[in-house]
Amino acid sequence: MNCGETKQALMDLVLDEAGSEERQQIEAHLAGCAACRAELVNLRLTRKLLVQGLPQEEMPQRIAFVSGQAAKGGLRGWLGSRTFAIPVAVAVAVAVLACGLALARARLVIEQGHWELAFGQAPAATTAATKSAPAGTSLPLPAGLLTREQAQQLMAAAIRESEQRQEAASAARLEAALSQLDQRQRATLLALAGQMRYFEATQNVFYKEASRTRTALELVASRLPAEKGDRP
Amino acid sequence: MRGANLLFRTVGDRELVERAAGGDVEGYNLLVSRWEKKLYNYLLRLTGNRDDALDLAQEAFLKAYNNLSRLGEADKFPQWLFRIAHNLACSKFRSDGRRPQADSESWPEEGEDAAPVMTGGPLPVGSSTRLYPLELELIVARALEELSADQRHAVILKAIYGFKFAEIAEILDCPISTVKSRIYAGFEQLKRVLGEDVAAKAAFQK
Repeated sequence: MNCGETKQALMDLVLDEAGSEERQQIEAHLAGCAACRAELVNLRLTRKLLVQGLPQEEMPQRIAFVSGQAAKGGLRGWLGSRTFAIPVAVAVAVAVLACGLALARARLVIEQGHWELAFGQAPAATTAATKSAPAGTSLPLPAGLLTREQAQQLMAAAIRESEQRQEAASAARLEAALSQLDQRQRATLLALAGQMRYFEATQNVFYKEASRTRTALELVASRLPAEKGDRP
Repeated sequence: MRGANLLFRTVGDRELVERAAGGDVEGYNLLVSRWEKKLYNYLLRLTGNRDDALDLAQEAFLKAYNNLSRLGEADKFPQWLFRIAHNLACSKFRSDGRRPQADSESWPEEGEDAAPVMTGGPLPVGSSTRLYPLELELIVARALEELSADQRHAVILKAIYGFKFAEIAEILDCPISTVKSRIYAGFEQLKRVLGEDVAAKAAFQK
């Protein structure tokens, strides 16, 4: 490789287009050629100046797309959608009823085939039962008539199951709502930060205008040898 | 509690392109956030106008999304996106009846670094020369103005955005040999002009 061939190869090297083979050839030539080493320094400096002289500006606003067809998400959207409104309303009503009864320490007491609502401390023999299990419960029902103990056990089991389901569901809903809030807040803060950066950057336009004039004047002045001595 | 469900995972452009092509808008938004700043700044160089650059960037991303199915190889998304943006910018200037560099007098290279006034110390650009960021921007802007528009676009795509010659050929829709000659000639000229300017600066400061 002679200096003429190396000239273009050096440009490839600085612009990240040189293959490993080409790179080896260049290195071999550079080892014995000071002129090409100097040329390489100049080319690297040129790229560095170019990159530093063209800084990437912040965007005035970020770009994001939303789908035109997907349901707008979130807890509100979910509650508001027709598919879920009725089951959710029923579930909420049942939950409120259950909580109210539990707070009043109420019990449905089965006494010899009669149902009655009782308040206060339960007698040892009777067990608390607040409401029937919602549809979909998977408790096995023994065939034939139920004894009182069996009925109580079944109802207690159904209640436990229902309470667990509702707890899990409300925890999940709460979590979803929290994370959505969190994301929105974060997005707002990010947008705000971006705009602040942009604002800060635009302020410098004024400074630049002034500085451009100054630089131009300085360059003119530097070409006048008589004034050179007066410069600081 | 919520943090425990998050796992760190890197996703590449390819995966995001495939997700977006399957109708995943959030996947596409991730892709947008990855490329928007670069595209915006490239369009800013082309147009010299922030509003135009932002509009064109939005338009380009939208057009790219609507045509994702036509993008054969997911890996080619960046140059494909830049090509769309470049063509949009060119046709905009054709329809406006002005050329991108026509308003170059109104401060074409508007790249503001984050607050050079507050942060700007001298940049060590050479052994004997110190330039302030702003001065460097002005010098580079003037040097770029001396190139032809074609040379300038190719050199910027190469030196700033790091696209390969072949990718630039796709963006600018011309043969690789043309890209190479534009870049070699443009870069050579920049080397000369910047060298002179920096040398003049250095001589002046002595």
